[in-house]
Amino acid sequence: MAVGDRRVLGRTLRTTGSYLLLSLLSVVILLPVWLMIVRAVSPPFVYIDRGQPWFPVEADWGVFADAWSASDLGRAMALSLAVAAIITVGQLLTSIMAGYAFAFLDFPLKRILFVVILATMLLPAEVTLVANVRTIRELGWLDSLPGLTVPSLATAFGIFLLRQTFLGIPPELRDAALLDGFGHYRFLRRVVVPISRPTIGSLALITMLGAWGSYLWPRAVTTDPSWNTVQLVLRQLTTQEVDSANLAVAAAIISAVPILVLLLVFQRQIIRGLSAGAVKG
Amino acid sequence: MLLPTLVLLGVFAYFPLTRLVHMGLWRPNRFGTRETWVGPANFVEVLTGEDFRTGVWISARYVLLTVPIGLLLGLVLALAAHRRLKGIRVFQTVFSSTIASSAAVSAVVFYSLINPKIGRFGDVSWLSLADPDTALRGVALSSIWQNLGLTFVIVLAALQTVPDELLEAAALDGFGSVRRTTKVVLPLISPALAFLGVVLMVSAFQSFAQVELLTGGGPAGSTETLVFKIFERQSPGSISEGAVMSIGMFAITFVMTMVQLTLTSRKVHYGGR
Amino acid sequence: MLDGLTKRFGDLQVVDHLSLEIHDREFFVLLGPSGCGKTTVLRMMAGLDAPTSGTITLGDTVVNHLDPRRRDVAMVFQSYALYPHMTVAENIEAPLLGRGGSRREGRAARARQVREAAEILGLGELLGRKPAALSGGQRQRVALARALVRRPQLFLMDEPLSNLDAKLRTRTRLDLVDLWRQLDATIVFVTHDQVEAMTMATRIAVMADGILHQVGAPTDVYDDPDDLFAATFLGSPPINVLEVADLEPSTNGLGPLPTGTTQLGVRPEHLRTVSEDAPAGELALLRGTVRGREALGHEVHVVARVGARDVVARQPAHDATPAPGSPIILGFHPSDALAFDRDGARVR
Repeated sequence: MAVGDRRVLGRTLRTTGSYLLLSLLSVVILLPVWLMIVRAVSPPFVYIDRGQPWFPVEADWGVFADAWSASDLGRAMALSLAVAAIITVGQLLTSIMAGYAFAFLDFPLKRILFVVILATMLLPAEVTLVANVRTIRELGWLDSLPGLTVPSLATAFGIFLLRQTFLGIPPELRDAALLDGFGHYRFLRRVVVPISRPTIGSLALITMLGAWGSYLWPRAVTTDPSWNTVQLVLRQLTTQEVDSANLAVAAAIISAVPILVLLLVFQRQIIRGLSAGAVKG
Repeated sequence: MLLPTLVLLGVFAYFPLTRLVHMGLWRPNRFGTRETWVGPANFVEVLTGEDFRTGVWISARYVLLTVPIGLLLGLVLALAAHRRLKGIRVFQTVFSSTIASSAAVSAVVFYSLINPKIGRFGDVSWLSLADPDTALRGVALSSIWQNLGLTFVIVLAALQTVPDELLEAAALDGFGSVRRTTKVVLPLISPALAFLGVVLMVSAFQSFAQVELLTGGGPAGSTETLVFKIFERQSPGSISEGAVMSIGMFAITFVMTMVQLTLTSRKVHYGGR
Repeated sequence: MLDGLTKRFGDLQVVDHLSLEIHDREFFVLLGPSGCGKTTVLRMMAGLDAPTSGTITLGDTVVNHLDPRRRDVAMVFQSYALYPHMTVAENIEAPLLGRGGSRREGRAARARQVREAAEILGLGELLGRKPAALSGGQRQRVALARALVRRPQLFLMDEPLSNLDAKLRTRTRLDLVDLWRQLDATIVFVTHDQVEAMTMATRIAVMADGILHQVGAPTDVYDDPDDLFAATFLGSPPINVLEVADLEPSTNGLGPLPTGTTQLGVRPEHLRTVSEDAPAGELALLRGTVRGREALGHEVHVVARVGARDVVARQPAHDATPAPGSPIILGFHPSDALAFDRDGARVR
């Protein structure tokens, strides 16, 4: 009995320890966020005068409304949303079509074309930036939706991911669809896409995440502040002086809220998308 | 069905590669109206030049500052959160929450923390953004924090693929929890860690938003990463140099990816099948 | 009808000049070990694989170049190939939606056809479920319903029973035959299971290595095989093959064998134990030792070591058998033995 007691005690201790550890780590991760909120709602000079405490001073929640109106945040978020939506839809279309072609069609140069597409994974956008910005300028696409979106409408990653997923569809289903009289279009729309919906959803979510957060490309192809995406608005705000620091911080919080909501709602799908490639099965 | 993809990748992935070479060989005049031949000598000059060298060095240091620590922290978080406990999902959500933060947002977070003028910890000397010797650390910190969610999520997903029976077998073999982790779990998740390593390295090598928002490349150019330098060289007078630097960066990331991939594909343990 | 049908994958000859005529309303079974090319034959008939050479005729038309859909055939796959994201009803409806055929019919007509097909297979209750929520047997019936909803002139079935457990398989055999009668349809059924072939087929085609060995009614092929392969593939336990050269002269009460005979096939049910002192009569005798006995309840398989090989005899359940290790004499009527030459061809 004493042994049993000790064992129970050991388990309780271990559980408590686990919770302690997990809570500690959570605090470490969330501390910057907390301090950011504190910083946002405390008037900057008052906050500094009081020696930058851990809790808000003279909390003013109106700062979020101020940040919204002062920094053109509504317009910027609408623009970012449009950019993210266009890129996401475009990437889904190109990835589904190309993924289907590589998984279910036979055509000349198939293997070579696949390698050609895959090889662009070795080519980061940062490398081609200078040349692509020039192309966009020549096309007259600076400060425009096409300029912000078109270069991101096709990626090797999406194509590869969907091709792999499509290849996992049992070949008998293609046979059965043939016997049912489904052509390629019908097979794609009625069978392949519905079956692959989890992966396609994950791809859509992480594409959206990436497009929303993207910084360098919008920075390079916009000159007019009215074409600033959300991320670029943050840059504008941080370069200003101490007295508006709380606005920058508040704007950053607002800009992250939609993504945070997306993350909470679709946590599983996003995680699946992010770990695709890293973890098999 | 492939046509849109091929056109897009052709115009925005392959064409720019040749275009960069062209841009490196021809230098426009100040107004960008005429180009004159500068030839391969331009490549030699730029790639051996001081600017490129320091850019590479700063980017490399940035990688070293962010990747190992980031991986380690992600691993710690994942190991801590990979257990059967009531409410574990809440912790997992918290740990993965920085995924919602873009590079710019995390830069603002750390701007409010370590900006020399207004930051809560702006005067902490070992990561001061005002000191050329330490500024890069401050920038790196924001990048580590931003990537923590991603790293955690991938490592956790990898941990969850380790079959329970294997751990039970190891426990029956008398392995303690530490040895179970180092001898069984880590080898099994090493492919995921390798993948993650490459992703983090390449992305760290190309960090831009954090640098621009936190330091603007300063102080004294001490945080001017390679991408930052390239970005700064887009005026007609310097674009030729920027193009050559881009090619240099391509070579470096290419080699980095290849070396890492071949190294890891040999070392890592691809379990099961 | 298949004429000179050949399929090569690269250098691999999968089906070699196969000619077959399948009659209307037959339950025709293509029987052979796995990898013998029988599934490929089926897929060529369905139009999923193109023959390297030869022709496929359905009714009066050569269908070689027709789309699967235009051949008016339906196929039941070994894995059933149900669309996992569609309900049972949608799965059954799918063949009605494809291009060609009778798709101009309205939604109501399609719903009626689906209901009829489901009714025939007793799936009425399950129409709203997804395949993942069905048992193996139910999935199999959905696959059948999907095949018959279009009332094709020919059903192709690729081992549709192999994913069922043993008990269900036995019951489904009868159900399938009932269904076949009810539909008044032609079925080509591929299997490696000789019991399925024996119990369901009107005719069997035995295949191995892409070559057709024999075609005929199940009992004809069983009783009168054309070669050793057909003889050994049908029957469980399989036929005993005896080398003529190995038979002791004393057991050779066989009389004259057809010229060229090198091997004899004797089915286990034709062997019986003979006691030492009983008159041999016209039986040919084999002397050996008992290796073991397998009691199945309704019968016993006695395994005896005769010379260098095992011989299996089938006996009524309650016959006394000698203990393992003791000598045994097995006898058979020479007229029950099948004679084969060196190449395994039957000699008559």
